[in-house]
Amino acid sequence: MAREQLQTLSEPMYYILLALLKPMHGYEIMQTVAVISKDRVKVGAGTLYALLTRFEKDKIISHVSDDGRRKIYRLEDKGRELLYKEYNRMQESLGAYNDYVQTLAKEEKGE
Amino acid sequence: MKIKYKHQLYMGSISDMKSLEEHFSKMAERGWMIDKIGAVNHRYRAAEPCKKRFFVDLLPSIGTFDYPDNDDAKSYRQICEESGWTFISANGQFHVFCAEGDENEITPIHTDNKIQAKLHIKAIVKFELLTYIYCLVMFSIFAFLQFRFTGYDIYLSNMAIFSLFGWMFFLLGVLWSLTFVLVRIFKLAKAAKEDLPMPKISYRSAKARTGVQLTLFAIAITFFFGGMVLEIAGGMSLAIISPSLACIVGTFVGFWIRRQINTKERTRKQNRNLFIGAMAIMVVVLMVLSVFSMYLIFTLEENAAKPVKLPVITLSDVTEAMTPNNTYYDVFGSIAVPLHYSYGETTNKSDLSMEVFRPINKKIAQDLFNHYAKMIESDDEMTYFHLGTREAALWGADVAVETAYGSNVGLLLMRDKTILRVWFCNECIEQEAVQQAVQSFWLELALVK
Repeated sequence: MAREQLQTLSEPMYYILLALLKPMHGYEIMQTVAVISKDRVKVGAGTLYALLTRFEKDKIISHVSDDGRRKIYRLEDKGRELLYKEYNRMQESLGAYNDYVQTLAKEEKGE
Repeated sequence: MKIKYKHQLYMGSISDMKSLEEHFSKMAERGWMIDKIGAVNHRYRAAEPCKKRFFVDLLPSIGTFDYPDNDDAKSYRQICEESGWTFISANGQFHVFCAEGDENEITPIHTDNKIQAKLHIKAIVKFELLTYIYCLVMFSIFAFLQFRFTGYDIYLSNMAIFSLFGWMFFLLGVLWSLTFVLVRIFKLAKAAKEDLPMPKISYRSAKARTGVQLTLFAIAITFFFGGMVLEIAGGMSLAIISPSLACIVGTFVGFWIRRQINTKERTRKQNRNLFIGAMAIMVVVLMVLSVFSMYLIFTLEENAAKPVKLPVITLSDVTEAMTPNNTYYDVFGSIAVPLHYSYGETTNKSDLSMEVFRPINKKIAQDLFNHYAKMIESDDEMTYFHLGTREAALWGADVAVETAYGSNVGLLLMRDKTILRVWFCNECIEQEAVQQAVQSFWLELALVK
Protein backbone atom coordinates (compact mmCIF):
# COMPACT_ATOMS: atom_id res chain seq x y z
CA MET A 1 0.00 0.00 0.00
CA ALA A 2 2.78 2.38 1.07
CA ARG A 3 4.76 1.48 -2.03
CA GLU A 4 1.76 2.14 -4.22
CA GLN A 5 1.33 5.54 -2.66
CA LEU A 6 4.94 6.36 -3.35
CA GLN A 7 4.45 5.87 -7.10
CA THR A 8 3.57 9.53 -7.09
CA LEU A 9 5.06 11.92 -4.59
CA SER A 10 3.25 14.64 -2.73
CA GLU A 11 4.74 18.11 -3.01
CA PRO A 12 6.51 18.01 0.40
CA MET A 13 7.85 14.52 -0.40
CA TYR A 14 9.19 15.72 -3.74
CA TYR A 15 10.94 18.75 -2.26
CA ILE A 16 12.43 16.73 0.60
CA LEU A 17 13.92 14.22 -1.85
CA LEU A 18 15.10 17.06 -4.06
CA ALA A 19 16.81 18.74 -1.10
CA LEU A 20 18.47 15.44 -0.25
CA LEU A 21 20.41 15.37 -3.52
CA LYS A 22 22.99 16.76 -1.13
CA PRO A 23 23.30 14.94 2.25
CA MET A 24 21.99 17.12 5.05
CA HIS A 25 20.38 17.05 8.51
CA GLY A 26 16.70 17.53 9.35
CA TYR A 27 16.53 21.26 9.96
CA GLU A 28 18.71 21.92 6.91
CA ILE A 29 16.18 19.95 4.84
CA MET A 30 13.35 22.19 6.19
CA GLN A 31 15.29 25.32 5.27
CA THR A 32 16.33 24.01 1.85
CA VAL A 33 12.75 23.02 0.99
CA ALA A 34 11.62 26.57 1.83
CA VAL A 35 14.42 28.07 -0.30
CA ILE A 36 14.02 25.87 -3.39
CA SER A 37 10.22 26.20 -3.33
CA LYS A 38 10.60 29.98 -2.86
CA ASP A 39 8.79 29.76 0.49
CA ARG A 40 5.76 28.21 -1.16
CA VAL A 41 6.19 24.83 0.58
CA LYS A 42 6.86 24.67 4.29
CA VAL A 43 7.42 21.38 6.01
CA GLY A 44 6.80 21.15 9.76
CA ALA A 45 9.32 19.28 11.90
CA GLY A 46 6.84 16.51 12.80
CA THR A 47 5.75 16.04 9.21
CA LEU A 48 9.38 15.99 8.08
CA TYR A 49 10.35 13.43 10.70
CA ALA A 50 7.37 11.20 9.83
CA LEU A 51 8.32 11.32 6.14
CA LEU A 52 12.03 10.74 6.79
CA THR A 53 11.15 7.71 8.96
CA ARG A 54 8.95 6.35 6.19
CA PHE A 55 11.57 6.99 3.48
CA GLU A 56 14.22 5.31 5.60
CA LYS A 57 11.98 2.30 6.17
CA ASP A 58 11.37 2.02 2.43
CA LYS A 59 15.15 2.37 1.80
CA ILE A 60 14.62 5.53 -0.24
CA ILE A 61 17.04 7.40 2.02
CA SER A 62 19.48 6.41 4.74
CA HIS A 63 21.20 8.27 7.52
CA VAL A 64 24.91 8.33 7.06
CA SER A 65 26.30 9.77 10.25
CA ASP A 66 25.27 11.42 13.47
CA ASP A 67 26.48 14.97 13.72
CA GLY A 68 26.09 15.16 17.51
CA ARG A 69 22.34 14.88 18.03
CA ARG A 70 21.65 15.47 14.35
CA LYS A 71 21.24 12.70 11.84
CA ILE A 72 22.60 13.37 8.34
CA TYR A 73 20.36 11.90 5.66
CA ARG A 74 21.36 10.82 2.17
CA LEU A 75 19.34 9.89 -0.90
CA GLU A 76 19.69 6.22 -1.92
CA ASP A 77 19.54 4.93 -5.51
CA LYS A 78 15.89 4.02 -5.03
CA GLY A 79 15.15 7.56 -3.92
CA ARG A 80 17.05 9.05 -6.85
CA GLU A 81 15.05 6.85 -9.21
CA LEU A 82 11.80 7.90 -7.55
CA LEU A 83 12.76 11.57 -7.80
CA TYR A 84 13.64 11.33 -11.50
CA LYS A 85 10.44 9.41 -12.20
CA GLU A 86 8.48 12.19 -10.52
CA TYR A 87 10.45 14.80 -12.44
CA ASN A 88 9.73 13.03 -15.73
CA ARG A 89 6.06 12.65 -14.82
CA MET A 90 5.83 16.38 -14.13
CA GLN A 91 7.72 17.16 -17.35
CA GLU A 92 5.31 14.97 -19.28
CA SER A 93 2.35 16.68 -17.62
CA LEU A 94 3.83 20.07 -18.44
CA GLY A 95 4.59 18.98 -22.05
CA ALA A 96 1.04 17.67 -22.45
CA TYR A 97 -0.29 20.97 -21.14
CA ASN A 98 1.86 23.00 -23.54
CA ASP A 99 1.03 20.82 -26.54
CA TYR A 100 -2.70 20.99 -25.87
CA VAL A 101 -2.75 24.73 -25.21
CA GLN A 102 -0.79 25.33 -28.45
CA THR A 103 -3.19 23.09 -30.42
CA LEU A 104 -6.18 25.02 -29.03
CA ALA A 105 -4.52 28.33 -29.89
CA LYS A 106 -3.90 27.15 -33.47
CA GLU A 107 -7.53 26.01 -33.77
CA GLU A 108 -8.73 29.42 -32.61
CA LYS A 109 -6.58 31.13 -35.23
CA GLY A 110 -8.08 28.75 -37.82
CA GLU A 111 -4.79 27.41 -38.96
CA MET B 1 12.99 30.76 45.92
CA LYS B 2 11.19 27.45 46.01
CA ILE B 3 9.41 26.53 42.78
CA LYS B 4 5.70 25.93 43.22
CA TYR B 5 4.19 22.96 41.44
CA LYS B 6 0.65 21.90 40.75
CA HIS B 7 -0.40 18.37 39.74
CA GLN B 8 -3.36 17.32 37.66
CA LEU B 9 -4.54 13.77 37.31
CA TYR B 10 -4.88 12.95 33.64
CA MET B 11 -5.50 9.55 32.16
CA GLY B 12 -6.65 10.59 28.73
CA SER B 13 -5.94 8.47 25.72
CA ILE B 14 -4.07 9.18 22.50
CA SER B 15 -7.44 10.13 21.02
CA ASP B 16 -7.68 13.02 23.51
CA MET B 17 -4.16 14.40 23.23
CA LYS B 18 -5.02 17.26 20.90
CA SER B 19 -7.41 18.59 23.57
CA LEU B 20 -4.35 19.17 25.76
CA GLU B 21 -2.94 21.91 23.52
CA GLU B 22 -5.74 24.32 24.36
CA HIS B 23 -5.70 23.29 28.01
CA PHE B 24 -1.95 23.90 28.36
CA SER B 25 -2.42 27.36 26.77
CA LYS B 26 -5.18 28.25 29.23
CA MET B 27 -3.08 27.02 32.17
CA ALA B 28 -0.11 29.13 30.95
CA GLU B 29 -2.39 32.18 30.80
CA ARG B 30 -3.37 31.46 34.42
CA GLY B 31 0.31 31.26 35.45
CA TRP B 32 0.79 27.50 35.36
CA MET B 33 3.28 26.25 32.81
CA ILE B 34 3.21 22.55 31.89
CA ASP B 35 6.45 21.09 33.18
CA LYS B 36 6.21 17.32 32.97
CA ILE B 37 3.77 14.82 31.53
CA GLY B 38 3.45 11.34 32.98
CA ALA B 39 1.21 8.36 32.34
CA VAL B 40 -1.43 9.51 34.85
CA ASN B 41 -0.21 12.87 36.06
CA HIS B 42 0.65 16.28 34.60
CA ARG B 43 2.93 18.58 36.57
CA TYR B 44 2.65 22.38 36.17
CA ARG B 45 5.19 24.93 37.35
CA ALA B 46 4.22 28.34 38.67
CA ALA B 47 5.28 30.99 36.13
CA GLU B 48 4.41 34.46 34.93
CA PRO B 49 1.08 34.34 33.07
CA CYS B 50 1.83 34.30 29.36
CA LYS B 51 0.37 33.49 25.96
CA LYS B 52 1.92 30.37 24.52
CA ARG B 53 1.12 28.05 21.68
CA PHE B 54 1.41 24.32 22.45
CA PHE B 55 1.78 21.37 20.19
CA VAL B 56 1.27 17.80 21.37
CA ASP B 57 2.74 15.35 18.91
CA LEU B 58 3.39 11.66 18.55
CA LEU B 59 6.77 10.19 17.70
CA PRO B 60 5.74 6.88 16.13
CA SER B 61 9.19 5.32 16.13
CA ILE B 62 9.15 5.12 19.95
CA GLY B 63 7.77 1.70 20.82
CA THR B 64 6.76 0.16 24.14
CA PHE B 65 10.25 -1.26 24.71
CA ASP B 66 12.24 1.78 23.60
CA TYR B 67 14.23 4.04 25.89
CA PRO B 68 12.25 7.30 25.60
CA ASP B 69 15.34 9.52 25.20
CA ASN B 70 16.97 7.40 22.51
CA ASP B 71 18.79 8.86 19.50
CA ASP B 72 15.62 8.90 17.43
CA ALA B 73 13.78 10.98 20.03
CA LYS B 74 16.77 13.31 20.47
CA SER B 75 17.07 13.81 16.75
CA TYR B 76 13.33 14.53 16.38
CA ARG B 77 13.34 17.00 19.29
CA GLN B 78 16.41 18.66 17.81
CA ILE B 79 14.63 19.35 14.50
CA CYS B 80 11.56 20.69 16.37
CA GLU B 81 13.72 22.95 18.54
CA GLU B 82 15.70 24.24 15.58
CA SER B 83 12.46 25.15 13.85
CA GLY B 84 11.47 27.35 16.81
CA TRP B 85 9.61 25.02 19.18
CA THR B 86 10.71 24.46 22.78
CA PHE B 87 10.62 20.88 23.97
CA ILE B 88 8.80 20.62 27.32
CA SER B 89 8.33 16.97 28.18
CA ALA B 90 7.66 13.53 26.75
CA ASN B 91 6.00 10.35 27.85
CA GLY B 92 6.56 7.47 25.43
CA GLN B 93 5.38 8.66 22.03
CA PHE B 94 3.69 11.77 23.51
CA HIS B 95 5.75 14.92 23.05
CA VAL B 96 4.83 18.41 24.24
CA PHE B 97 6.35 21.51 22.65
CA CYS B 98 5.58 25.18 23.06
CA ALA B 99 6.26 28.34 21.09
CA GLU B 100 5.58 32.03 21.52
CA GLY B 101 5.06 33.29 18.00
CA ASP B 102 2.07 32.72 15.74
CA GLU B 103 1.92 30.42 12.71
CA ASN B 104 3.49 33.03 10.39
CA GLU B 105 6.61 33.20 12.53
CA ILE B 106 7.00 29.55 13.47
CA THR B 107 6.03 26.69 11.17
CA PRO B 108 3.59 24.30 12.88
CA ILE B 109 5.08 20.94 13.81
CA HIS B 110 2.69 19.29 11.37
CA THR B 111 2.02 20.88 8.02
CA ASP B 112 0.33 17.87 6.45
CA ASN B 113 -3.14 16.98 7.75
CA LYS B 114 -3.09 13.54 6.15
CA ILE B 115 0.22 12.52 7.71
CA GLN B 116 -0.82 13.80 11.14
CA ALA B 117 -4.20 12.03 11.03
CA LYS B 118 -2.58 8.79 9.85
CA LEU B 119 0.00 8.92 12.65
CA HIS B 120 -2.83 9.25 15.15
CA ILE B 121 -4.85 6.41 13.63
CA LYS B 122 -1.79 4.15 13.68
CA ALA B 123 -1.04 4.93 17.35
CA ILE B 124 -4.70 4.56 18.41
CA VAL B 125 -4.99 1.20 16.65
CA LYS B 126 -1.68 -0.04 18.07
CA PHE B 127 -2.04 1.12 21.66
CA GLU B 128 -5.79 1.37 22.26
CA LEU B 129 -8.03 -0.38 19.75
CA LEU B 130 -6.18 -3.72 19.95
CA THR B 131 -6.04 -3.52 23.77
CA TYR B 132 -9.77 -2.83 24.05
CA ILE B 133 -10.65 -5.59 21.59
CA TYR B 134 -8.40 -8.00 23.50
CA CYS B 135 -10.01 -6.97 26.83
CA LEU B 136 -13.50 -7.24 25.35
CA VAL B 137 -12.85 -10.78 24.14
CA MET B 138 -11.12 -11.88 27.36
CA PHE B 139 -13.70 -10.33 29.73
CA SER B 140 -16.57 -11.82 27.70
CA ILE B 141 -14.91 -15.24 27.84
CA PHE B 142 -14.31 -14.94 31.62
CA ALA B 143 -17.88 -13.79 32.30
CA PHE B 144 -19.30 -16.52 30.05
CA LEU B 145 -17.13 -19.27 31.54
CA GLN B 146 -17.94 -18.18 35.06
CA PHE B 147 -21.65 -18.54 34.44
CA ARG B 148 -21.33 -21.55 32.12
CA PHE B 149 -19.43 -23.67 34.62
CA THR B 150 -20.90 -22.43 37.86
CA GLY B 151 -24.45 -22.05 36.58
CA TYR B 152 -26.82 -21.12 39.37
CA ASP B 153 -24.17 -22.21 41.89
CA ILE B 154 -23.08 -18.62 41.37
CA TYR B 155 -25.67 -17.67 44.01
CA LEU B 156 -23.71 -19.62 46.60
CA SER B 157 -20.55 -17.55 46.63
CA ASN B 158 -20.22 -13.83 47.25
CA MET B 159 -17.02 -13.87 45.24
CA ALA B 160 -18.85 -15.39 42.25
CA ILE B 161 -21.83 -13.00 42.52
CA PHE B 162 -19.64 -9.93 42.92
CA SER B 163 -17.14 -10.90 40.27
CA LEU B 164 -19.94 -11.46 37.75
CA PHE B 165 -21.05 -7.86 38.39
CA GLY B 166 -17.37 -6.88 38.25
CA TRP B 167 -16.98 -8.42 34.77
CA MET B 168 -20.18 -6.65 33.66
CA PHE B 169 -18.80 -3.25 34.69
CA PHE B 170 -15.42 -4.01 33.13
CA LEU B 171 -17.20 -4.93 29.91
CA LEU B 172 -19.25 -1.72 30.06
CA GLY B 173 -16.06 0.32 30.58
CA VAL B 174 -14.34 -1.40 27.67
CA LEU B 175 -17.37 -1.00 25.41
CA TRP B 176 -17.59 2.68 26.33
CA SER B 177 -13.93 3.26 25.45
CA LEU B 178 -14.07 1.08 22.35
CA THR B 179 -17.03 3.03 21.00
CA PHE B 180 -15.21 6.31 21.49
CA VAL B 181 -12.00 5.00 19.93
CA LEU B 182 -13.90 3.71 16.87
CA VAL B 183 -15.70 7.06 16.45
CA ARG B 184 -12.35 8.85 16.75
CA ILE B 185 -10.70 6.57 14.16
CA PHE B 186 -13.62 7.18 11.81
CA LYS B 187 -13.30 10.97 12.21
CA LEU B 188 -9.53 10.84 11.73
CA ALA B 189 -9.87 8.63 8.65
CA LYS B 190 -12.33 11.16 7.22
CA ALA B 191 -9.90 14.00 7.97
CA ALA B 192 -7.06 12.07 6.32
CA LYS B 193 -9.16 11.30 3.26
CA GLU B 194 -10.48 14.83 2.78
CA ASP B 195 -7.27 16.58 3.90
CA LEU B 196 -9.06 18.34 6.77
CA PRO B 197 -7.49 19.63 10.00
CA MET B 198 -7.40 17.27 12.96
CA PRO B 199 -10.92 16.83 14.42
CA LYS B 200 -11.11 18.85 17.63
CA ILE B 201 -12.04 17.53 21.03
CA SER B 202 -12.49 19.67 24.12
CA TYR B 203 -10.46 19.04 27.27
CA ARG B 204 -13.65 18.97 29.31
CA SER B 205 -15.33 16.27 27.22
CA ALA B 206 -12.09 14.26 27.16
CA LYS B 207 -11.95 14.42 30.97
CA ALA B 208 -15.64 13.56 31.30
CA ARG B 209 -15.28 10.57 28.98
CA THR B 210 -12.20 9.32 30.85
CA GLY B 211 -14.05 9.94 34.14
CA VAL B 212 -16.92 7.67 33.07
CA GLN B 213 -14.46 5.02 31.91
CA LEU B 214 -12.45 5.12 35.16
CA THR B 215 -15.64 5.14 37.28
CA LEU B 216 -16.87 1.98 35.52
CA PHE B 217 -13.49 0.29 36.08
CA ALA B 218 -13.41 1.47 39.71
CA ILE B 219 -16.89 0.02 40.32
CA ALA B 220 -15.75 -3.25 38.73
CA ILE B 221 -12.66 -3.44 40.97
CA THR B 222 -14.77 -2.55 44.03
CA PHE B 223 -17.07 -5.47 43.21
CA PHE B 224 -14.11 -7.87 42.98
CA PHE B 225 -12.60 -6.72 46.25
CA GLY B 226 -16.03 -6.42 47.92
CA GLY B 227 -16.78 -10.05 47.09
CA MET B 228 -13.40 -11.11 48.41
CA VAL B 229 -13.79 -9.17 51.66
CA LEU B 230 -17.28 -10.65 52.21
CA GLU B 231 -15.93 -14.17 51.62
CA ILE B 232 -13.10 -13.64 54.09
CA ALA B 233 -15.52 -12.08 56.62
CA GLY B 234 -17.75 -15.14 56.12
CA GLY B 235 -14.93 -17.43 57.23
CA MET B 236 -13.22 -18.25 53.93
CA SER B 237 -9.46 -18.78 54.10
CA LEU B 238 -7.24 -15.79 53.35
CA ALA B 239 -5.81 -17.92 50.57
CA ILE B 240 -8.76 -16.77 48.45
CA ILE B 241 -6.81 -13.59 47.70
CA SER B 242 -4.19 -15.57 45.79
CA PRO B 243 -5.81 -15.07 42.33
CA SER B 244 -5.92 -11.30 42.84
CA LEU B 245 -2.22 -11.43 43.76
CA ALA B 246 -1.58 -12.01 40.07
CA CYS B 247 -3.19 -8.65 39.25
CA ILE B 248 -1.46 -6.79 42.08
CA VAL B 249 1.97 -8.33 41.43
CA GLY B 250 1.44 -7.87 37.67
CA THR B 251 0.71 -4.16 38.14
CA PHE B 252 3.80 -3.64 40.28
CA VAL B 253 6.00 -5.59 37.87
CA GLY B 254 4.55 -3.51 35.02
CA PHE B 255 5.43 -0.25 36.79
CA TRP B 256 8.90 -1.57 37.64
CA ILE B 257 9.58 -2.55 34.02
CA ARG B 258 8.29 0.84 32.80
CA ARG B 259 10.65 2.53 35.23
CA GLN B 260 13.56 0.39 34.11
CA ILE B 261 12.87 1.17 30.44
CA ASN B 262 12.48 4.90 31.14
CA THR B 263 15.51 5.40 33.35
CA LYS B 264 18.34 3.41 31.82
CA GLU B 265 19.36 3.43 28.19
CA ARG B 266 19.10 -0.05 26.72
CA THR B 267 18.33 -1.38 23.26
CA ARG B 268 14.79 -2.45 22.34
CA LYS B 269 15.94 -6.10 22.42
CA GLN B 270 17.46 -5.76 25.89
CA ASN B 271 14.26 -4.17 27.23
CA ARG B 272 12.14 -6.90 25.64
CA ASN B 273 14.34 -9.58 27.25
CA LEU B 274 14.01 -7.78 30.58
CA PHE B 275 10.22 -7.88 30.21
CA ILE B 276 10.18 -11.57 29.25
CA GLY B 277 12.50 -12.42 32.17
CA ALA B 278 10.38 -10.47 34.68
CA MET B 279 7.21 -12.11 33.38
CA ALA B 280 8.74 -15.59 33.60
CA ILE B 281 9.85 -14.98 37.21
CA MET B 282 6.41 -13.58 38.06
CA VAL B 283 4.62 -16.60 36.60
CA VAL B 284 6.85 -19.01 38.55
CA VAL B 285 6.35 -17.06 41.81
CA LEU B 286 2.58 -16.93 41.29
CA MET B 287 2.43 -20.64 40.53
CA VAL B 288 4.33 -21.41 43.74
CA LEU B 289 1.99 -19.07 45.66
CA SER B 290 -1.09 -20.70 44.11
CA VAL B 291 0.08 -24.19 45.03
CA PHE B 292 0.87 -22.99 48.54
CA SER B 293 -2.54 -21.32 48.92
CA MET B 294 -4.30 -24.47 47.64
CA TYR B 295 -2.38 -26.43 50.23
CA LEU B 296 -3.52 -23.95 52.90
CA ILE B 297 -7.17 -24.10 51.76
CA PHE B 298 -7.36 -27.88 51.76
CA THR B 299 -5.20 -28.79 54.73
CA LEU B 300 -6.23 -26.04 57.14
CA GLU B 301 -9.91 -26.45 56.39
CA GLU B 302 -9.73 -30.21 56.75
CA ASN B 303 -7.89 -30.01 60.03
CA ALA B 304 -10.14 -27.37 61.55
CA ALA B 305 -12.75 -29.01 63.77
CA LYS B 306 -15.87 -26.86 63.72
CA PRO B 307 -18.60 -27.06 66.34
CA VAL B 308 -21.93 -28.03 64.73
CA LYS B 309 -24.30 -25.16 65.48
CA LEU B 310 -27.10 -25.71 62.95
CA PRO B 311 -29.64 -28.55 62.83
CA VAL B 312 -28.30 -31.64 61.07
CA ILE B 313 -29.35 -35.22 60.39
CA THR B 314 -26.89 -37.71 61.86
CA LEU B 315 -26.44 -41.43 61.35
CA SER B 316 -27.68 -42.01 64.89
CA ASP B 317 -31.01 -40.36 63.89
CA VAL B 318 -31.63 -42.94 61.17
CA THR B 319 -30.00 -46.12 62.30
CA GLU B 320 -28.54 -47.79 65.39
CA ALA B 321 -26.07 -45.55 67.12
CA MET B 322 -22.81 -45.59 65.25
CA THR B 323 -19.65 -43.71 65.93
CA PRO B 324 -18.64 -42.04 62.67
CA ASN B 325 -15.07 -42.44 61.45
CA ASN B 326 -15.22 -39.09 59.81
CA THR B 327 -17.45 -36.05 60.21
CA TYR B 328 -17.46 -32.88 58.20
CA TYR B 329 -19.38 -29.69 58.69
CA ASP B 330 -19.08 -26.53 56.63
CA VAL B 331 -21.02 -23.30 56.74
CA PHE B 332 -20.83 -21.09 53.64
CA GLY B 333 -23.46 -18.41 53.06
CA SER B 334 -23.66 -15.59 50.57
CA ILE B 335 -25.79 -12.50 50.12
CA ALA B 336 -28.14 -14.48 47.85
CA VAL B 337 -28.16 -17.67 49.91
CA PRO B 338 -27.51 -16.55 53.50
CA LEU B 339 -28.10 -20.00 54.98
CA HIS B 340 -26.00 -22.65 53.27
CA TYR B 341 -24.26 -25.46 55.04
CA SER B 342 -23.34 -29.10 54.64
CA TYR B 343 -22.86 -31.96 57.03
CA GLY B 344 -21.79 -35.54 56.61
CA GLU B 345 -20.86 -38.65 58.57
CA THR B 346 -19.19 -41.84 57.39
CA THR B 347 -18.55 -45.17 59.06
CA ASN B 348 -17.10 -48.40 57.67
CA LYS B 349 -20.62 -49.64 56.95
CA SER B 350 -22.59 -46.57 56.07
CA ASP B 351 -22.62 -42.90 55.28
CA LEU B 352 -25.04 -40.01 55.26
CA SER B 353 -24.56 -36.49 54.07
CA MET B 354 -26.73 -33.45 53.58
CA GLU B 355 -26.62 -29.91 52.27
CA VAL B 356 -29.05 -27.10 53.09
CA PHE B 357 -29.76 -23.93 51.07
CA ARG B 358 -32.09 -21.18 52.15
CA PRO B 359 -31.92 -18.27 49.65
CA ILE B 360 -33.37 -14.82 50.17
CA ASN B 361 -36.35 -15.53 47.94
CA LYS B 362 -38.35 -18.25 46.31
CA LYS B 363 -37.12 -17.32 42.80
CA ILE B 364 -33.50 -18.13 43.67
CA ALA B 365 -34.63 -21.30 45.46
CA GLN B 366 -36.49 -22.39 42.34
CA ASP B 367 -33.48 -21.57 40.11
CA LEU B 368 -31.18 -23.60 42.35
CA PHE B 369 -33.63 -26.49 42.53
CA ASN B 370 -33.99 -26.57 38.74
CA HIS B 371 -30.21 -26.33 38.36
CA TYR B 372 -29.59 -29.37 40.58
CA ALA B 373 -32.50 -31.28 39.00
CA LYS B 374 -30.92 -30.66 35.56
CA MET B 375 -27.55 -31.85 36.84
CA ILE B 376 -29.18 -35.09 38.00
CA GLU B 377 -31.03 -35.50 34.69
CA SER B 378 -27.86 -34.99 32.68
CA ASP B 379 -25.94 -37.66 34.62
CA ASP B 380 -26.23 -40.86 32.56
CA GLU B 381 -25.07 -43.09 35.41
CA MET B 382 -27.93 -42.10 37.70
CA THR B 383 -31.55 -43.08 37.62
CA TYR B 384 -33.95 -40.44 38.80
CA PHE B 385 -37.67 -39.94 39.54
CA HIS B 386 -39.58 -36.71 39.92
CA LEU B 387 -41.76 -37.54 42.90
CA GLY B 388 -45.44 -36.65 42.91
CA THR B 389 -46.94 -34.27 45.46
CA ARG B 390 -47.98 -37.08 47.78
CA GLU B 391 -44.60 -38.81 47.67
CA ALA B 392 -42.84 -35.49 48.13
CA ALA B 393 -45.05 -34.80 51.15
CA LEU B 394 -43.67 -37.99 52.73
CA TRP B 395 -40.33 -36.15 52.76
CA GLY B 396 -42.01 -33.01 54.07
CA ALA B 397 -41.30 -31.28 50.74
CA ASP B 398 -43.34 -29.40 48.13
CA VAL B 399 -41.32 -30.90 45.27
CA ALA B 400 -38.77 -33.69 45.24
CA VAL B 401 -36.44 -35.63 42.96
CA GLU B 402 -35.10 -39.01 44.00
CA THR B 403 -31.92 -40.42 42.49
CA ALA B 404 -30.25 -43.78 42.74
CA TYR B 405 -26.69 -44.75 41.97
CA GLY B 406 -25.73 -48.26 43.02
CA SER B 407 -26.59 -48.59 46.68
CA ASN B 408 -26.65 -44.83 47.17
CA VAL B 409 -29.83 -42.84 47.29
CA GLY B 410 -29.99 -39.10 46.82
CA LEU B 411 -32.86 -36.72 47.46
CA LEU B 412 -33.34 -33.21 46.21
CA LEU B 413 -36.13 -31.61 48.23
CA MET B 414 -37.64 -28.15 48.28
CA ARG B 415 -39.97 -26.85 50.94
CA ASP B 416 -41.12 -23.24 50.63
CA LYS B 417 -37.80 -21.51 49.81
CA THR B 418 -35.51 -24.05 51.42
CA ILE B 419 -33.67 -26.79 49.54
CA LEU B 420 -32.33 -29.90 51.19
CA ARG B 421 -30.09 -32.42 49.50
CA VAL B 422 -29.58 -35.75 51.28
CA TRP B 423 -27.48 -38.75 50.29
CA PHE B 424 -27.35 -42.06 52.10
CA CYS B 425 -26.45 -45.70 51.58
CA ASN B 426 -29.66 -47.73 51.44
CA GLU B 427 -27.96 -51.02 52.35
CA CYS B 428 -27.76 -50.17 56.04
CA ILE B 429 -30.23 -47.33 56.37
CA GLU B 430 -34.01 -47.68 56.07
CA GLN B 431 -35.61 -45.11 53.82
CA GLU B 432 -38.54 -44.63 56.27
CA ALA B 433 -36.09 -43.77 59.03
CA VAL B 434 -34.55 -41.10 56.83
CA GLN B 435 -38.03 -39.78 55.96
CA GLN B 436 -38.82 -39.37 59.65
CA ALA B 437 -35.50 -37.70 60.34
CA VAL B 438 -36.06 -35.30 57.42
CA GLN B 439 -39.59 -34.44 58.69
CA SER B 440 -38.17 -33.57 62.14
CA PHE B 441 -35.29 -31.74 60.48
CA TRP B 442 -37.67 -29.34 58.63
CA LEU B 443 -39.26 -28.42 61.99
CA GLU B 444 -35.90 -27.76 63.59
CA LEU B 445 -34.72 -25.76 60.59
CA ALA B 446 -37.85 -23.59 60.68
CA LEU B 447 -36.61 -22.25 64.03
CA VAL B 448 -33.31 -21.08 62.53
CA LYS B 449 -33.45 -17.42 61.57
